[in-house]
Amino acid sequence: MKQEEIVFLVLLILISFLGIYTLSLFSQRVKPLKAEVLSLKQEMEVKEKYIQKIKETYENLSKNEIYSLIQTALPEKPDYSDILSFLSQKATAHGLALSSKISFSEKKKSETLPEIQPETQGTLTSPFSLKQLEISFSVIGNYNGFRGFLKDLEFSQRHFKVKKIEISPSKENFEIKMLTEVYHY
Amino acid sequence: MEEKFEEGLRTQKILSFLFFATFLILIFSFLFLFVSQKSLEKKKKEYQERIEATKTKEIRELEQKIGLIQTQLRDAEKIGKEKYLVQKLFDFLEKNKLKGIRINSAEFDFEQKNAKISAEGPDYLSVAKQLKVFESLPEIKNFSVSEVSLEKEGKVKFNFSFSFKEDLIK
Repeated sequence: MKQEEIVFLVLLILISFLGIYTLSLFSQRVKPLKAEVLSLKQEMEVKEKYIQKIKETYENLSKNEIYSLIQTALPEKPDYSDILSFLSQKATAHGLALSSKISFSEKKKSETLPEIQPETQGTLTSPFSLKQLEISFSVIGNYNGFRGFLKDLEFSQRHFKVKKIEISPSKENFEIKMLTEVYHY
Repeated sequence: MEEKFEEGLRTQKILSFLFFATFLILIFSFLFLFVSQKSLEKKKKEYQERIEATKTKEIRELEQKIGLIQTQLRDAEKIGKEKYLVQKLFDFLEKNKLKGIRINSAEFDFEQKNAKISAEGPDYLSVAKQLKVFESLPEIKNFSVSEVSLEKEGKVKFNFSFSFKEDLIK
């Protein structure tokens, strides 16, 4: 073998090693990127599936008749106007006169019943807490009218919890003082 | 001499071939890795954008709405279990009130499950019968009479109180 051939061979070997070394360095840079992309892909798939699922869940829930019932029974806001118009309409329908004063009082958190507090599921805590709104009012009228009013109140879509009733005579009729409670978020 | 020259030429050719082959392999490998890296970087950017797109206001609102519905369902179930109908107590009183007895005033506390009633009857005997009925009812507990009085008109007024079992209004 000639001297120049030996030099050529050595150069070839050197270039090969240098090339392989550089390639392995480059490959080491690509490897974590590949792993990162794979993990991002998985994360993205999970999130997209989750979004698809919550969209479907929400659509199914919105179509369910229970959804509208629950929105009325336990609304997001106190809906004072709805309460007032309901009481007024029902009192009139049963021949009762609604009192001139209707009091609303939001119950403080410490006063809330522990069993009505929203539960925590796993480690997640619900950001929504059920609030209780007490409504105090009185109606004047006969007993049958009061029974009809009471029935409508108890079977209304908005959930009314009757806490106290005081019946006292008022001229030829009765004055019925009621303390009720509704819920909202 | 000629043979040596030919052998030297063959070795040179082989070495040249090896050199170019190695060079080409290295070039293609670098190209492959470069293209892979660019493609991975592109995919990474795309996935990051798609992940970011899942954090929109709309999705957050949807999550909030579903969270609210879940809470509403849970609370509705609890409230449903606790629900009572106060009119059942009135049905019960009407059913057990004897003829001639009139309830004048009453106070009901449905959380404490107790009642204070003021009523009147035509005579002592009717009132006694009425009290006997209430005393014997299994749905009523702690029945007590606080006052019985004969009024000027001859009517007998009586005040009583009791507590009632939860089943009565459930």
